[in-house]
Amino acid sequence: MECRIYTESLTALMDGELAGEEASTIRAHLLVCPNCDAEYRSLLYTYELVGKARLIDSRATTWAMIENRIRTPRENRSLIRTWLFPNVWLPVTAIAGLILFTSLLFLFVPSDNHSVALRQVLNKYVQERDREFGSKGIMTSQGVLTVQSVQYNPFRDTDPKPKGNPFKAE
Amino acid sequence: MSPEQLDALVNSAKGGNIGAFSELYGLYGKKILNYIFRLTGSREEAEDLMQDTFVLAFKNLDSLKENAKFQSWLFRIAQNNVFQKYRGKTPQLESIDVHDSSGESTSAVTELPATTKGPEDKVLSAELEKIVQRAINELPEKYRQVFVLSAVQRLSYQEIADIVGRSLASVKSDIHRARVEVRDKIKEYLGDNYGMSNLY
Repeated sequence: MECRIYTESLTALMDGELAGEEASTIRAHLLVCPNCDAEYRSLLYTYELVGKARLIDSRATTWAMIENRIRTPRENRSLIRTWLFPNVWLPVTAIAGLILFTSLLFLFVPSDNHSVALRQVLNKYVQERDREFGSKGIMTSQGVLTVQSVQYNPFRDTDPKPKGNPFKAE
Repeated sequence: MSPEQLDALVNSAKGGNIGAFSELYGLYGKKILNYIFRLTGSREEAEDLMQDTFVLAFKNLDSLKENAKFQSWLFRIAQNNVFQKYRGKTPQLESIDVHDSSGESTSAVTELPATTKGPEDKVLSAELEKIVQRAINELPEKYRQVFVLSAVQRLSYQEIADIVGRSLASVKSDIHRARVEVRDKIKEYLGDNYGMSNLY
């Protein structure tokens, strides 16, 4: 367990990122622990190997190209486009969404066939209504609706004879 | 360069002075180029992305609040440019397999040519360069960036944390894991030659 704690700090020790006391503690541990010491040497070897990797130089014309791009106004426009549309997928998604929405609108707009069927149903209803109202004397033969007074008292009993006690069971 | 000199240079560049910015390019251009090169494995891509980085940096200098953190800020722009282009992709590297006398390929390098430089300027041979780059390429993206910044660029852990936008503890842990992984891969490629002092 102790070795594991020390092993995790070996890289920081190598990079000089440990405080004085902590670095001393780990160095003291390396003196007495061959496994940790071997691990440290192995990591150090790789570190030095990588450190010797070649650094490449930029071409002589690179700065001139950068300067040209900075000075060219077209660069400003492309940057504005980059700021407005940081991701090419954003406008593509927006356009695709608009096309989909427009397509759905066309799908749900009633076609001529639907309105014809609806008109037929309405006409049929009107004819039936006219027929019913006509039979009741409400409509004239020309189909004009006229209002007639109807004297009807549902509470008036047409039969004058008393019917007895309605609360008494027969 | 002293912090005061850097501050004056950055302020001058912020004012539109391209000459001052060219000095900044002279100071940091090679570092940025090599950082991108190690992340991408391609010199051509590194040149293009390095140009994009500096152009973008010049245009957005006003967004830099602390001039002292110019280097970290520049590395961050470079990193973002690389990620935008290479997100999810592994950098490519040509095969380093060698063939024995029967024509069969072997996975490990069995013979490493000596360097031509003297002991004072020892550098890695081309094959070792490829081995190192291959090991870096095979790291997960999260480990690759901290590894390159620490082992190649030799930046401090705090600077690395500023660049990658993570905590110091997280960076320390990732650097260690990355180094162990690179060590294991190089050990695998070099085989018995690993640990020999005449390699470089």
